[in-house]
Amino acid sequence: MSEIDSPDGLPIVQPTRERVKQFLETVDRDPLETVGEIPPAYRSMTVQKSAANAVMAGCEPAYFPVVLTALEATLEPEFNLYGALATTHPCWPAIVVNGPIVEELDINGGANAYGQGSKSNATIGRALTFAYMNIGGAIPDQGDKATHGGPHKFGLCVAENEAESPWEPLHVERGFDADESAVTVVASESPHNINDHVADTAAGVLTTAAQTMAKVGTNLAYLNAHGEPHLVLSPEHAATIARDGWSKDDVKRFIYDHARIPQEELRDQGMFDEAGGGWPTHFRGLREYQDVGLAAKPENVLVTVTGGAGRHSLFHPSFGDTESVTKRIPGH
Amino acid sequence: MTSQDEEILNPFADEIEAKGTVLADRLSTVDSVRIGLFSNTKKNADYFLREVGAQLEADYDVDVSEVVYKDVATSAADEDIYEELLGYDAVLIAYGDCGSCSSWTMHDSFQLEEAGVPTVVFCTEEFTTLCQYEAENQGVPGLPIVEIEHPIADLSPEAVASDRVTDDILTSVTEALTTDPEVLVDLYQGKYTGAASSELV
Repeated sequence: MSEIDSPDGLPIVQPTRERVKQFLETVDRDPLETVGEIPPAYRSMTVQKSAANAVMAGCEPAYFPVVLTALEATLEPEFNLYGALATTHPCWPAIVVNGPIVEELDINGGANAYGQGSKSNATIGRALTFAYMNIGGAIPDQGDKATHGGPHKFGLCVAENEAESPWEPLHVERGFDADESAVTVVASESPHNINDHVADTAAGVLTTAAQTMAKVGTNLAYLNAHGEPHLVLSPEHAATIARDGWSKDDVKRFIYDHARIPQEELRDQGMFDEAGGGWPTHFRGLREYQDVGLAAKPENVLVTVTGGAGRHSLFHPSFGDTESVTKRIPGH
Repeated sequence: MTSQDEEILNPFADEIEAKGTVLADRLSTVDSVRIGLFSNTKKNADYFLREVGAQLEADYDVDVSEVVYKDVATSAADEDIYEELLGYDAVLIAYGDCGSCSSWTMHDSFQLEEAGVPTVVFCTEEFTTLCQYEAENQGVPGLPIVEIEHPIADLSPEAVASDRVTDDILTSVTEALTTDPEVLVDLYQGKYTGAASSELV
């Protein structure tokens, strides 16, 4: 096969047999084993083809177990990869990594974790993007009909800043041991900033967060039967909240209760449709004075701690009709 | 390093095997049949379908259903919706006017065709390429996708009925429901994507 063109416009590494072999040696899998069928074309992806795409993305061989596990996680039915890749909405699978592998691979969960500067952050997410394009056919304006897309579609992978989080890490919350490594995938938009430099209480910080999150134009105002608003707290904001004795569940409950949109603001805006009943199914029957939430239940609010110094947090609006998936990285 | 080590491996999907069409048998006539109207809940899809149904009832001896809705446009319909729709001789589905709703509308159509119910999918012109790309790659290249003018979401219900339901669309619907599947493959394969079967790789 002749040289492969870049799928995303940036230079790539050619997936030679020797390079792919080095990647395959990092996982205990048959190279020809089918990992799954990638939508929207639903074409078969083998372990070897996923490795070839990881090579192209510029990954180191040691990153491949993260890439492969993340790809498999996005193929779980509840993730709705078919919808997430094809949609006009600017969502894309984002990866959060937990556990000892974060340090081993130097995945940034600290200062500028969502920005430039880390090879593992930059290339692990890019490998997923390549697999979706090269195998699934999620090509802009073909199998991927995003109206605008977004910078996160070049690939988005961060670590949780477990050392500076006052609470248990995401993967432990979801049943894994702290010394295991895991990836969580979320079909979400690029993150939006939440600036609060003055609040000195849990309720104060989280009121600012809730006000930033609950906006008429978010998909979560309508497609929230499964959707998970993802609040990424900075270590400083998390410390302020924890100082008041609040648990992560308390944070979720507060966001569930307060990240809400008054019915009169939603009516005839966004995706409100009178013929369809107007409100999301699970919020129908609200009294007029009750506001519409972004999550169907408090547990659906996703809370992680990532970032460096500073009093900014982030909100990832979700595609809405999708559920995040956490998988342990085999052998790690 | 050998030349074999330097060989570039294929990162793309392998060529798909040529799949036989799974299109349902079509109707011999649209007279005396029961047609189900199925909305994916996109704005005004129900108004569009009702107008198509009314015009079919005016021209033919057909019995058109009330609009059946699925829960949400961005996922597959629930099984009980499929079961209800399987009670009709044919189903009209509206409509694809965004990426995820188009994709899952195609999925719903594939399920009904597989179960033996002929369908017609309505899709705005900006999304017919996506719909047909999915039909071709999921083994249903002849699935009839009837194109309607885009945009459609910022029209009033009255304008959707008066401006978007054209005589050509009604002709395409009756043709799609009564034309043999093999002929539909000739009519629809590559109609929007420009792909011949040999190019579906």
